[in-house]
Amino acid sequence: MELVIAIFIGLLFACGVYLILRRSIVKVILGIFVLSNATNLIIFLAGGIRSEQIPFIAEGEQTLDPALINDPVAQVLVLKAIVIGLGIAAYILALKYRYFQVTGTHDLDLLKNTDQR
Amino acid sequence: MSLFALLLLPFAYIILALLIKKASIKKRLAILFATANFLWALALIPLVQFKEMIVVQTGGWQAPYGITLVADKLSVFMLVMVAIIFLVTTIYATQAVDKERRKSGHYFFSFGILMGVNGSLIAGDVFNLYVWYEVMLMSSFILISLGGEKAQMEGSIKYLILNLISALFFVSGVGLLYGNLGSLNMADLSRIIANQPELLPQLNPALILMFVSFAIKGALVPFFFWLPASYHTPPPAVTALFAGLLTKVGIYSLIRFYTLFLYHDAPFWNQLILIMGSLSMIIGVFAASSQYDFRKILSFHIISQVGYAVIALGFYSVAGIAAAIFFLGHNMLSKTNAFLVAGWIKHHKGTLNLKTLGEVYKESTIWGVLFFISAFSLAGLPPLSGFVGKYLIIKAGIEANQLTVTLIALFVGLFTLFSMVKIWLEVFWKNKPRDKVVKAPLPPPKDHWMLTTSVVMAILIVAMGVWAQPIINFCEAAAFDLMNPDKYIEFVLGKS
Amino acid sequence: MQNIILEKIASLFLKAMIIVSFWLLLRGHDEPGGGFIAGIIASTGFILYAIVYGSVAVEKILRWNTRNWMGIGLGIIFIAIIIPIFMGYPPLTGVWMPTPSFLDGFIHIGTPILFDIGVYIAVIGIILSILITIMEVLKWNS
Repeated sequence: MELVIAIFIGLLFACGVYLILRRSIVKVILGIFVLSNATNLIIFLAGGIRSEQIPFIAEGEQTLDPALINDPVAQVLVLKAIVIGLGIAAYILALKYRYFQVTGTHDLDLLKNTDQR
Repeated sequence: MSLFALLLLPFAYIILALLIKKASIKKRLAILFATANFLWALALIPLVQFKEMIVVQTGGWQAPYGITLVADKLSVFMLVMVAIIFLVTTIYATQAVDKERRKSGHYFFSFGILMGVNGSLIAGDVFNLYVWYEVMLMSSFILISLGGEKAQMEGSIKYLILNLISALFFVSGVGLLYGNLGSLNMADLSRIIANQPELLPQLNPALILMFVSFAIKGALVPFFFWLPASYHTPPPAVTALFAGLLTKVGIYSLIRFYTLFLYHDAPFWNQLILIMGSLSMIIGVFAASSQYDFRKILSFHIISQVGYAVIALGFYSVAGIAAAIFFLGHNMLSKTNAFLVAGWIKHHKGTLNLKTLGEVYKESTIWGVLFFISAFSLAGLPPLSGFVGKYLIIKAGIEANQLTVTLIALFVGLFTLFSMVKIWLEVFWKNKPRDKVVKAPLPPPKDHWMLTTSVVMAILIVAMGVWAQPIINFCEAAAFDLMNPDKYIEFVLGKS
Repeated sequence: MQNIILEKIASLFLKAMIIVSFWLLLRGHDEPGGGFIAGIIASTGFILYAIVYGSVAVEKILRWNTRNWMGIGLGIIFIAIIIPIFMGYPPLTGVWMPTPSFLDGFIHIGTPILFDIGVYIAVIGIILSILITIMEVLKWNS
């Protein structure tokens, strides 16, 4: 299972990098989203996939066998990363909209005015 | 508690700014909270000298399990510098930022930056560091695009995409580190690596990812392209804030990581850091000397100056790290003040192109003197702070037997002087070109606060050069702590 | 969009989602749930409502500006952070009130639940502010 997810993460990274290298700004933004999901999966995988039990202490019990559960820390980290991703997605799409309004183009190659020449 | 207030003060301002509608109250509250933050950061100095380090375990969860906030001398030094820069730019922005931007949340997001910077300076946890980075980045994304002019949009797209990639690199590194070692607390990670050095080769991917992320954030060659493409687009007050805070946090994290993790493999990392630092110095300064825009020259100089701090770190001695810390502090002050002067010129002349400016010294002697102080502090002329900073770095380099890098640093200083003199001649001395007509600038706004803040910064720069010894002593104590990571580990995790 | 069935369903769905989100919010500390996910679920109800009735109707339900709701949520979080400081604990510690005997085992009142309520309100505020801004800018109001 971990191998499958690892290969999948690799594929996602490849897709993300491919999209980021495109000329259209929409594709670059999609590439950012794909990459951020790939990194979320990396953290998720870092916790290890051991069993199907959720890391909650059952009612009436005091302890929990750590061998039976998945690592809750990694899941918490993924949740935080997803929340941050939500904020960034909202901002980046708004920026894209405004950018298109101001310049009327999707082409990143026309974005040369602020660079050194 | 003592550290948590540094996060709670900006947080409280953010809450109040959401609830209060009136712009004038928000402005006064911003100055009030920035002052409170500054006073609080100052109050940490005696605390950290008396108790060595301050540790807060949030939620009462003990160190490797909970989120730990740690401040050692390096953090406190940076916190005080950040508080100074923030207070100054907040007061400066009351007159330098136009009303439209202030209404749509200039202070709101600059306090977001303050919260993120304070948080990343005191984070004792790798993932927590990432979260504060992200707070800082989100606020800076919005601040750089606030106003929505065409140039700003272009600049902010470049800034946004490259910085997001840096954040993604960092979080992948955190994931790999956690998967390998099963901990996120920096002190705990450092202890595990020190106890099991055989783990080091398999950590290299994670450490490289994090190093690249810091290098992007700190604008080191070859990862600097976002900086000169975006820093000259927002209003000058915003650029001053960014120049003072953002890249320096990247270098701070690099110092922290270097002294906790990377030093185990010092021969490799030293070489890498020295090469990247030297290239940053050279390329930054060469690119700066070919530019003809006030703020672009200063932006390229950020890259070159960051290179200085990084090579001092690469010497890996107490003197070297102390020099790096002192240089960071000096650079924050001088660079911010140079941008403050640029902001005034932009307001009064409507342009920052060197070819169309001229005779500013005749019109306003005081601003000329202010620019002179900050620019020649950057170039490293005595008795200003830059001289002390460069002297410390070069001394440390000779002591560490790195003559080539030291010579490069001296040589780059010459070119810094050249490009500063170029700005000085073109903007302040040269006769105004008659053939190039600039559209009439707006009626000059009131500028007494702009002048006051800039004067205060200039006095601080001179003071940092003249009374350098106590600051150097503090930096050396900080560097001494950093060179003994066991002390940090013991403070965070308790004796064991 | 004029469709009586859709309109009825949307307003019913909003109420159902708010009730479900309250349930998730209150069971959050010991079982799966919590402020963030409850806020997301409540805002799905608002999103359907906004698509059917337009964003102005949502603003009317909310009564105050979404910025104010974010501020209120963050303010509650702030209070939950600083309460333990006054009781001598490190910030963010979970401090529980002694529950009266007849409520024993049914509900605990403490700073974690306050924190979750703050997150709930702030998340609703943020998501609705994104939604309302998008609908106003793109002129999706029916």
